[in-house]
Amino acid sequence: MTVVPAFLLLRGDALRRWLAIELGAWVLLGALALLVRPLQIQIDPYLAIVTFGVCVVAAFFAWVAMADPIDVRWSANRAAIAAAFFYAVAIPLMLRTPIDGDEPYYLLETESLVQDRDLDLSNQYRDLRHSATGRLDLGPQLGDPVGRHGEQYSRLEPFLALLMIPGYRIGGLPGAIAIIAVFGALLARSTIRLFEDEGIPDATARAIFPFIALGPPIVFYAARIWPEVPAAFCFVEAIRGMRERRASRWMPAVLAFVLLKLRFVLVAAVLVLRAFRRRSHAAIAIGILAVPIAIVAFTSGNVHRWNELIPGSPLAMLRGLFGLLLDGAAGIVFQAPIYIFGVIALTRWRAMPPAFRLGISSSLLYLIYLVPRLEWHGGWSPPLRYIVFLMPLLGLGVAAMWERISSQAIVACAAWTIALVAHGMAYPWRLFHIQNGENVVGETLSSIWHSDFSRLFPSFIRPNLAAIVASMAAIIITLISLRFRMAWLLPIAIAAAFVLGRRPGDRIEFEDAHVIHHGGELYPPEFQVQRFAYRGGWIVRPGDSLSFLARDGPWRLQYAAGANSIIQIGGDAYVLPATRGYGVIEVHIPRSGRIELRSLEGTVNLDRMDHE
Amino acid sequence: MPIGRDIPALLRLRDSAFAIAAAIAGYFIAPTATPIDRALPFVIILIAICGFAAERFPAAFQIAVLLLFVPAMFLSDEHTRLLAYGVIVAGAFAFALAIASARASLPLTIAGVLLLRWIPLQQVIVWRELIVLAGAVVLVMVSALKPAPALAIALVTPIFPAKMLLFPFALAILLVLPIPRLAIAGTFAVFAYFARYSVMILCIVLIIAVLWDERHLLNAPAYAAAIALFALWPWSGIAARAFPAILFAEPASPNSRPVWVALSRGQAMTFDAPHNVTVTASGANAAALPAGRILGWIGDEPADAPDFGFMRREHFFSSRNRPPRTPLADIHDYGAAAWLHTAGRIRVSVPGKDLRITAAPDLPPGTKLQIEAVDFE
Repeated sequence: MTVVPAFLLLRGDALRRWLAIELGAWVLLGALALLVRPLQIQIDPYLAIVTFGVCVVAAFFAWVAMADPIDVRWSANRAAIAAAFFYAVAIPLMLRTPIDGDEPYYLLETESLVQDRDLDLSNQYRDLRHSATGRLDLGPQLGDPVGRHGEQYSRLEPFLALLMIPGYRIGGLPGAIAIIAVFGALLARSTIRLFEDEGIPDATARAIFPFIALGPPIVFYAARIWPEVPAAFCFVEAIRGMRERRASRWMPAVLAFVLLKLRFVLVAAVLVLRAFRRRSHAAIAIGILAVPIAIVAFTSGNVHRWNELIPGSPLAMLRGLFGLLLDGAAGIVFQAPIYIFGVIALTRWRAMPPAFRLGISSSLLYLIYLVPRLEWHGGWSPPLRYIVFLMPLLGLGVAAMWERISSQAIVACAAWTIALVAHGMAYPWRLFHIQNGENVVGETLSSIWHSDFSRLFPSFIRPNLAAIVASMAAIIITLISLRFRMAWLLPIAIAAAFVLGRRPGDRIEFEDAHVIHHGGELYPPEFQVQRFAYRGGWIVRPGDSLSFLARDGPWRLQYAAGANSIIQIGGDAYVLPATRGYGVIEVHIPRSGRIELRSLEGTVNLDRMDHE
Repeated sequence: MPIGRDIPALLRLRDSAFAIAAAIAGYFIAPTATPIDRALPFVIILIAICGFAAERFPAAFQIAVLLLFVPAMFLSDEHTRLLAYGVIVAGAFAFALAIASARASLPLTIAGVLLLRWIPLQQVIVWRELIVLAGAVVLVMVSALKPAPALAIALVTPIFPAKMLLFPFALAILLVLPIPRLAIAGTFAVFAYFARYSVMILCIVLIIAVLWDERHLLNAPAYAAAIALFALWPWSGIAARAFPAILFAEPASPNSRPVWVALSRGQAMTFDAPHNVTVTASGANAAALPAGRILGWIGDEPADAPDFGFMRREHFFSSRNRPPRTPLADIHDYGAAAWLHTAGRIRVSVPGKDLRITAAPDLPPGTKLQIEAVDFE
């Protein structure tokens, strides 16, 4: 599996020893596989093989990082080729299920450009059987522009679709994704070149390279159809060009950056203005920015509005900001933990490389507008979508303070990253998670133990107590943890959380995984557009029942019902009066433990229940 | 502190605190379903000892400890969870062996023996196990054996009968004598060919231990196979006594119907059967019978099943049985006390409607042919 990259990156004794290790790893896998049947091991073989592959790749890069520099053939080009090799492996893994989110729409645009030489998707929607998307359920998205003669455009910028044309013509859907993978490899190259430009030692670059190029979120976006990885490449190239004062490098990079996604104009504007110091230069800058805006506006119809220029409330900003950092489903800590040191690097601003300062400061305006949005988490996409382009720069911050990071933290991040990559590669559909305030780990534990573990994970999508605690802890830890090591507390914290998680909580969200549902349905439906804008719930009808752990005492049940309904909790029946919007009634749980809620009459949407 | 540097002495206190905290956490996190789960704090301490002995990469061992919590929390299937513990701990031990200096051989060997032989703690016969532990120490210290072969010898050393506790010491003496190792291995290979199954196992492990330093090209596969075997520590008794028979074991079919009939000599039974059936058969009180002894006939097939419990550690060495060709995948107990229920699965074609099972008329008194179950295909 790593034989080709090994010959690419290693030589001499390190190469020979690695090949022996890889052989041993395969023998080990074979030997363990022999034990599966007699021991009656219940494991998904696909997950096992993918996890094995990810572990071998991780071990290979650890080997490359720690090998004698004489035995390592390291350069930006070699790193890029190695990354391309792994992206090529990732593509078929990602195509285990049909493409999702915005991906099929980008591909439809490509198909429209290739087949009709226009961006009108009406005929594509009518003839989905002949589309390479593999999706027969596609239709115009909410807010998609409609032309004067009924043309149906996509709200997505067409530049990515344009870039994918060669790949699509050669290989259809895999070919189109291969174009993104090529950009991924180029990004890997640019990132290493950026590190070299900024004086990051080779040893550090080798150590951090797999986290960036083959870790989340980049690895997932490099093998799927999203503009984030090409945008990240353009952004890094723009930063490098500006640092080197090479307009021929940064100008096209900035242009492509904005063409890929109009929202990046907020980054590009600051970036370009920083590049020019004279009035005439500023005029040129404005001209540069006007070109992509005009192109996008005239080609796809602009779905953006002027009022989008007003940032949200401070509370919404705090929620989005801490959410991007700490949210269990969409935050850096849980979805790409190594980059948290890039965030911590912000506290050492003056000591950071100039490119880091340039990149981050240029992104500030973009972030100010991003974090208060309801969709700060990226919506229906793999995690961290809106800040993928920033990851190489955060990676530079991590690299700059690599020597100061404790080995426990690095190894912990590595282990978590391996788990994330293995999970995402084995089950690519789970990269998309409905915005219900839960995450995969919490849901899994809740399903196993039928107790609410999700409440222990900070959620800023559906704010909970853990989110407040985590926010305060993050501030404190950022201030003091660099001086005090607290790794020994981690096992105690895990044990305490595990014990606490098996006890009833103060809030029951009826749609959550810990609730055992006998009948009923999720509200809103799983694939509801902008689902995060709704209050989730579980709709029950007569005969349906729910079972969950709850503490004794008085509770407030929030629900919505079109007509009077009756439910039974424990031994008591309650009438739920009809509501406009949501209503509240008080219910009483006689004893702590597993409780059954049964619908006796009427249809009611049960939102949640709070202990008083 | 960057990865890979030696641990400064002052940091050991912090690592000790981590180990203690993790052991306490393991007590609360581990399920109580099996002795292996309940021994998780003990296992955590052993991994910490490996970390201390290795003197490098302390973070890797700490993460291995935390990884042990993952199966405890996420895997409800017992065998899957125990094998996950096995793989994690085997990985940590292998890593420790790979990075440690020669002076770490002794603590690593002791930790390995404790892991392989001292779980479940309540079934440990302390004085016998201390002698085995001393034998392993002698092998490492006096005979300069590497930890991996020393652990293999310790693993297979029987504690019943007591005289077999001297096995590691005998090997240690053999290794210090000026005899070429190839000659020792050849002699025991010849001996193994004629010996009964339980003795043959000892001979084969002895040959591997003697030739361990001669493996050269087989280095990586040998270590990989050793790690895979070590991963079976939650059933170390199986690794010691039922290997490689366990690899051929078959789980019972979902169509299996329990029968539970024991036939004394000359007794017979008949039942309706379709064309093909698989009969699960074993012997009772048959441990002293020679290997391959036919206990009866199932249709026209000879039933040469061994005693169902001859792989228990109390009976194994004195038994003359050998495992059936296709054993039933039925593991009992855990750790060093684990044993394979040695019922054989015998496939039979039934030409008519009836299948007749007959116990041999010359069976010794008290010996019985047990028909445990029948799978209708």
